[in-house]
Amino acid sequence: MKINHPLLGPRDASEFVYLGDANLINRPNAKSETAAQEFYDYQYLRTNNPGEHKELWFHEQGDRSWLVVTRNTLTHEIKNVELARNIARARS
Amino acid sequence: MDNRLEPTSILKGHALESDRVMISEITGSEIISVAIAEQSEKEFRAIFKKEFGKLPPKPGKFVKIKGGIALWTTPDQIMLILESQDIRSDEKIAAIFSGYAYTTLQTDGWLQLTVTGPDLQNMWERFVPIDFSKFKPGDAIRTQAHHMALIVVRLDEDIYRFISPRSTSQSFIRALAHII
Amino acid sequence: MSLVDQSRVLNFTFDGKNYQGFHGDTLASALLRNKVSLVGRSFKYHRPRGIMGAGSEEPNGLVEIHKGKVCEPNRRATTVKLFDGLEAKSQNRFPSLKYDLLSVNDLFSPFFAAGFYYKTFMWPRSFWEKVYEPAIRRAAGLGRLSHAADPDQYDKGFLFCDLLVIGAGPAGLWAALNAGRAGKQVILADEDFHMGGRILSDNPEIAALSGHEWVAQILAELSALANVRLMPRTTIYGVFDHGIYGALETKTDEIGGANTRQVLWKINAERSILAAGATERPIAFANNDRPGVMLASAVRTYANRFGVTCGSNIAVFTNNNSGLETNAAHIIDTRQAHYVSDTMGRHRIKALRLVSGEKIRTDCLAVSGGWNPNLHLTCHKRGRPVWDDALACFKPDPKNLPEGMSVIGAANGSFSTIGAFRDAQNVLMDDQIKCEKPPNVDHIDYEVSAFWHVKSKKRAWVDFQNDVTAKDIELAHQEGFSSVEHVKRYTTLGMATDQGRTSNVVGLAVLAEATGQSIPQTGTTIFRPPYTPIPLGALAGRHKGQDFKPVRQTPSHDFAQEQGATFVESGYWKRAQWIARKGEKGWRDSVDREVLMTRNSVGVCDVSTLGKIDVQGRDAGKFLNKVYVNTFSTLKVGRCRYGLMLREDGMAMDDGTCARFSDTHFVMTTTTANAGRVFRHLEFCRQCLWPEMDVHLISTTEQWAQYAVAGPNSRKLLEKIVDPAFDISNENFPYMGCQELTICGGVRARLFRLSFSGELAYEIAVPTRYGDSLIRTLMKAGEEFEVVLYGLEALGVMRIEKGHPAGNELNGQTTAANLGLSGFVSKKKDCIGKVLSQREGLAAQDGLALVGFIPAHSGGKITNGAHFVEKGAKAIPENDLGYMTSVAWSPMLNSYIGIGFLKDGKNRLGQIIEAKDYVRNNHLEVEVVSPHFFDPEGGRLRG
Repeated sequence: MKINHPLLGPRDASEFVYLGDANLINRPNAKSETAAQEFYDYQYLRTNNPGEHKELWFHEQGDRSWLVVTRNTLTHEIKNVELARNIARARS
Repeated sequence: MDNRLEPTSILKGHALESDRVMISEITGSEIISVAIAEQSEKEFRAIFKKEFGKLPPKPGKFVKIKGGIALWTTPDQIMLILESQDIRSDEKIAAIFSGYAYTTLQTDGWLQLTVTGPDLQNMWERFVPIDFSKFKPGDAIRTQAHHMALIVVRLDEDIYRFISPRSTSQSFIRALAHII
Repeated sequence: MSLVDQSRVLNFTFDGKNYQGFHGDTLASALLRNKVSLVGRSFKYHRPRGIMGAGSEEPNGLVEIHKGKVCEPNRRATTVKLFDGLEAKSQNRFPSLKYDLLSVNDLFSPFFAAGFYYKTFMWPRSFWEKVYEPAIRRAAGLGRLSHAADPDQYDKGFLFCDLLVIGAGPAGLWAALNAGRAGKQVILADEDFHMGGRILSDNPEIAALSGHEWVAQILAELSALANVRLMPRTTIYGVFDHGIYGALETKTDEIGGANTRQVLWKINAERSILAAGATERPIAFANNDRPGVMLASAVRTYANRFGVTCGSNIAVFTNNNSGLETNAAHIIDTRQAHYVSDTMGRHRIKALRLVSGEKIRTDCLAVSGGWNPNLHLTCHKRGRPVWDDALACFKPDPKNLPEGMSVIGAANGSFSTIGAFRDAQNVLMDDQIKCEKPPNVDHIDYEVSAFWHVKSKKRAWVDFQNDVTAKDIELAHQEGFSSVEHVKRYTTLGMATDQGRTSNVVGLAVLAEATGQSIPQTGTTIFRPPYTPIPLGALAGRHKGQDFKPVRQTPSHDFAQEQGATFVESGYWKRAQWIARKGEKGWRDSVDREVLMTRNSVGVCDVSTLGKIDVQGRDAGKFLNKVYVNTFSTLKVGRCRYGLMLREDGMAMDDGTCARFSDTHFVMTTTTANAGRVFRHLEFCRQCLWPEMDVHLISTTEQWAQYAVAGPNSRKLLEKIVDPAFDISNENFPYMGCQELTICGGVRARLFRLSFSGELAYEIAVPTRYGDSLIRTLMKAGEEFEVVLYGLEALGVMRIEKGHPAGNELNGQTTAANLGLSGFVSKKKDCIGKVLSQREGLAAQDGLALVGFIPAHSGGKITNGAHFVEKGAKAIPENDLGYMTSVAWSPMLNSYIGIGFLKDGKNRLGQIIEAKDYVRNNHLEVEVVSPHFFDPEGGRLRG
């Protein structure tokens, strides 16, 4: 498997560590009235559809950037790779 | 009582040599990581240009500066390698950037090797998962070799710098010895 | 003119007998050259078998290669390159190949039909484990393992290219040559040691040269191109994601040499061309497995490439015109309605009989049932092949190829040399690569009439290696196993080491005839990597023995080694566990001594392995507040604070101390084991959760050599090395302080007043370049205090005596509440894990709590992992009250002590319960006590 790092180009999978669904970037607001339920959903529930999946990879043996990779779980094709911090910044 | 501390090198003078390549440890060099403060990219670049005469390195590259090189490590960090021994060089660099960057001394965490020889591009195919035919002078890359972190800098046509964590140095040298 | 060098004679043995062959021979060609027709016994029936093919598709000629005690089983004699001194033995026979006692199985063949394992050996039930399975295992299998360690060197590597050409027959050679001339980075791989494919076997005239001469010319030009890498004896065994291919390169067949034997490559290719050729398939007829019955293409290979005639009176049985290219005395062509109905002869074919009744004397029957494109790699990404009626074979599905792959030549159904050249030209032109017009070569169009099976009452073999006959397939269908997936598993068709190379399609055709469906309707099973077997050693590469994983050494490693330390592996680290002294009989002697000496005077321990993370930035304190349960923004400069980190699900993840050196500079420590995990987590928080904060992280674990100096004399010892400008008295440097200072005449250092042991203690850190020098200096300076170097065990004993949680207690299932640290969790702020830690189930008042345990009766031995039940209660899960997590012999209390988690533990102090350990069969009554066994008020550390 290869991941095309947006700044560094294609790199071998051995340089990366997988975390999970990219939705982990959207951490709920702890002050919300329904925080308990929101955190539960955030931590445990996933739609888990086959096909395109946005997921978090850490370039541990590279530039230590977190990346959001859009990968098809059926064909393994990687459509897009973005710096997670850019997505996180846009969100806030 | 006279308690003097003496620094010890990692390989203690041991070098690797074959008919194609010469590999030996570099001592007398300091590594300082420089993290750019949030929202200070502009100021950082200006100070860097003023101090070192050129702009900071781009991803996958290094630039030559007075006394050494600066290589890109991550979107908000660079690594300075200065060829002189000064155990407080991180404090000096921090002073230069006066609040727009944070520095950390990193010299002692790494083994630095100078690797020289002609036509070494295909020497590393059983060592690193990188396409060395596309790795030119001016390039710097951080990857791994046999589960050990490795920074490779191509200083020139026939000169590379290999930088790997200090604690795994013996394993790293063994892994290198396999292929030279 | 053959390709072997008759001037270079090689000596080898087979079953102990000496033979000679030539350089360029395979073991198979050399055996045939020496007229050895019996090479093995079949899997189930132990029938005599001879060489059938000439390449990696060989199902019969499986041998063991020996060297001393080492034995490599199941090697195909057709792919072993002959070398001088080769020792080979046949397999699956006792006592000898010629007189195999188990050939009696053949007489009982009606009972060994498909599915026989499932139908017999069913009763009595108890016999299955004790009698039947061991007996079947002994009788099963072809090769034997020697149980000797694999003496060979293997390695792994990474290659990159623009174009990977898989197969160096005419198609592959023409593609690689033209792409190479056009300046592309090309890798040309072929599983054989001599490139050329079927040109070597049929030696057609090409461009007015013999085929062999033409190949030599092309290879010479390819070798001279710097941008072309020729890789003979390299099997591309798998297609993976994103243009990555797995390849196994064999450098030598010699066992146990000093040089690397095989290299496993990961090849990154922008494009690939599959030119893997095709494999001939046999026809099923009665007794078609007799030695001397061979694939027609193999007979021609042995003749043209190796100069070996397989018989003096050859007959050909064919359903297509390629079979007719074989030099033969007799032709039996199904298209002329001639069919072979049986063969005769015991250890070698002597004659055959036709369906018409005619008997023909022959010593070699060359069979051709048609050709199957080697399309396996096109299916590794879940593609399925498509049936071609005209060619009577499966072909790759052009609409469903792995990304970047094209297929040419016989692999794509172009069964002629000119077809191979044209395919190569077309593919290159599609890629805008200039291609020379292909050379002249005569050809006749391939013509085949599908014919699979001469029906008979006698057994006709389909899968030669797993001994599966046409009858077995028909029987499977009869018993309801009619899907191709079921037939495969029920009969084991295609499941041997040759993965059905010569049997899958014939088997499908027999099944199709039985079910009345067409072949495409019957379908195929899935092809998966590896294409041919890979030794496990090659998958390990050089990572075995000393090189299994990298070793991390601490700054005091050399010194500790000189002192005779015993080391333990802690992840990748080697840490000193204890340092034995002369006269000590066991580890307890050493560890008890180290604890006593430290607590009585002073001890030094290397704690460099603990993760250290530099946290800098205007928002560093704010960031730490988010990741720790307690508050760090309020920590004063020059002070340290213990911190607990939770996972987002509320479980304790890691703990450590954090020191503040300036408004914008903290140094965090983590446990050794979690250093990497915590760093990853912190970077996630920094980049993904709070990207707007000004905070930066650098790992400094290796930058600083750090030693714990602990015991009543620790300050006195340190005062001997700390430079006079720095006052480390109790007034000026109280417990939990930190400062940057210099030691030993100006050496940069950091001092922390922290205590894991509970003693008056410090941690002194210097840049690692001084680490070795510092440990020696400390130990010398400490001589007057009888300073002791202590290891991980003593460190552990002391922290258990103090009741400090460590890795055993932070096991991923425990919360701050379990650890007795709920008071620690700030109520004023959110942090990672805060919300989910307040879930009902985790916040129960009478939940597990960390407490201490001592034997209720003196002399009792506590063991770790024991579970607690009420006195007299049955040891069943319903009565489980918790478990022991850390145990030590306490030299200070002269007793075994333990800490662990007990339900409602805080309200049970003084009670007697039972600790049950069924792993070591150690059960005893224990008293519940506070986990702070030694100096519970903490007076020693504040002195």
